[in-house]
Amino acid sequence: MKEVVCRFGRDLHLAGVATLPDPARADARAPLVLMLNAGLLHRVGPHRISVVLARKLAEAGIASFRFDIGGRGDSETGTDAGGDEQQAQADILDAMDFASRRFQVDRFVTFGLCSGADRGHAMALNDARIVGGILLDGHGFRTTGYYFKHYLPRLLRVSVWLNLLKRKLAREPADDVVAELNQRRPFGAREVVARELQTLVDRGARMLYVYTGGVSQEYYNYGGQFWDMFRELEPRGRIAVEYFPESDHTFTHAGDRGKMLNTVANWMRVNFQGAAG
Amino acid sequence: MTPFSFGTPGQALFGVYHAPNPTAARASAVLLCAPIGLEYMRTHYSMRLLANHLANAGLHVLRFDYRGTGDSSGSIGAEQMDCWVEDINLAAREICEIAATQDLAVCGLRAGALLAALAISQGATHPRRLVLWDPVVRGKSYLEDLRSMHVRKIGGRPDDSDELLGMRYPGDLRGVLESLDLAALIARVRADEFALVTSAERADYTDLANAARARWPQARSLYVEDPVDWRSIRGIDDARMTGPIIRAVAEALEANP
Repeated sequence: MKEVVCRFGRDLHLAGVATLPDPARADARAPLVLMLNAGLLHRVGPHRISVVLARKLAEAGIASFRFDIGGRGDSETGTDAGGDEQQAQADILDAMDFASRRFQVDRFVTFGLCSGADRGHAMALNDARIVGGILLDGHGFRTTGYYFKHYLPRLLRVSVWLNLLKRKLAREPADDVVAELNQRRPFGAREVVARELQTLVDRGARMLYVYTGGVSQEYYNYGGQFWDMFRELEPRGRIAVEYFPESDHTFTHAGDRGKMLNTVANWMRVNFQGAAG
Repeated sequence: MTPFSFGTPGQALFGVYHAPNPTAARASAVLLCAPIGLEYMRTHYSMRLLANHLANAGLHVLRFDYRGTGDSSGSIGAEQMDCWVEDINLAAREICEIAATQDLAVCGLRAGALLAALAISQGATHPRRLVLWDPVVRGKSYLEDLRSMHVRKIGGRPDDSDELLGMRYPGDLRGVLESLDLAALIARVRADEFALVTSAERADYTDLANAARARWPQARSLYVEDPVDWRSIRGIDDARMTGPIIRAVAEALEANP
């Protein structure tokens, strides 16, 4: 395995690290895994998940490139105009173009947590070189099942009703349960995301969604929710969904993190190194 | 900012060099020693801001990741503390070589302060100035805080790993950390000047400031209020320090001799 520190980008403003398998082990069939920033964190990822995954994938013959979009981590902000999201997309495009030239790859799989998952999805819609996506706590929409699971335990608790009565008598604002539900990432309309996903699936892209208990208060709280959100998606074989209800959003528990990393590495092997690749 | 790797093959360290502003450049270098574990992640951007500030003031600055952390080689294992001390000495030589100077200041944040003091006390690195920023004063209390935060963060679930908040602390690393007391350690530190910058008024910082004054009569101690709370898990994944304390640390490092 070899790690290469890189400076690249239209203004040479971006920083990244490529993790390359030993030439004898490198799998020419496998796409390069492009690792995106999780929120404001730099490319190493929470609890070093991107570094550990990169080295694990290299052992299996798969190359990866983790980098910071402009303004994050060790990358400077680009000089061109445009909003944050436009610049982020331009930076991801720079990373793909750079990796294509430098490491002779023409297919990519994005890996991202939270906003990294959102950016990977948006980028995949615009660039057919992206043949797969690994989305950790990616987009989600509350379903009837979500509300049922979220509210039922609360409605059965006497303390909740007593609290509500107390607030009513004191003329205080309503319980914060509703307020907490209103704080979500902006995923847009469900129908639009469903159409976008269908476009990706029709194109032959393969997707792995991993959801954690860390977003259970916001939008995802049971194992089958993905298919309740996107009932119309076909064929389903190209999409894998895993649910880690005990894990927090950043996989702090060593057991959760290990399980997630194994899930991702196995999914890559099955989808891009096996018969399906 | 120039990212690069340095050190021996197989044990490479990731570093970022901040070149000085050419209009203010001087032959002085600063080595920044980052915290470890979750605090490394949550302070990464603040360390970048500090490095930019210092480079704008004309200093050569190096940030780097210890072995087993960030983008550097390896994973946390046995004798990790010895590796980290070696890494600090290596990084100090690297920035002095890049800047072509022996005029070095070292700044350590949180556990990075403890590691920096340990490395300097062993004699291979001799900075003119040592600045400690919200340092971990007693390794034992630090581990107790991490343990308590870890249990809260994972919701009290059983955990048979040796991790605390996502980083391994093998037995020997815990043992060394538990034995370290910065107030005792700085008596052996070979530096000409010393400054302490803290975001809170705490008894252990007062003890450290007193020990520093016994060692360096001119030792400076600054308190700059900052909302960062190292013992809280609230906002733990994205907390950053604010401008005033970063500027105070920069001023402590960049002052002319």
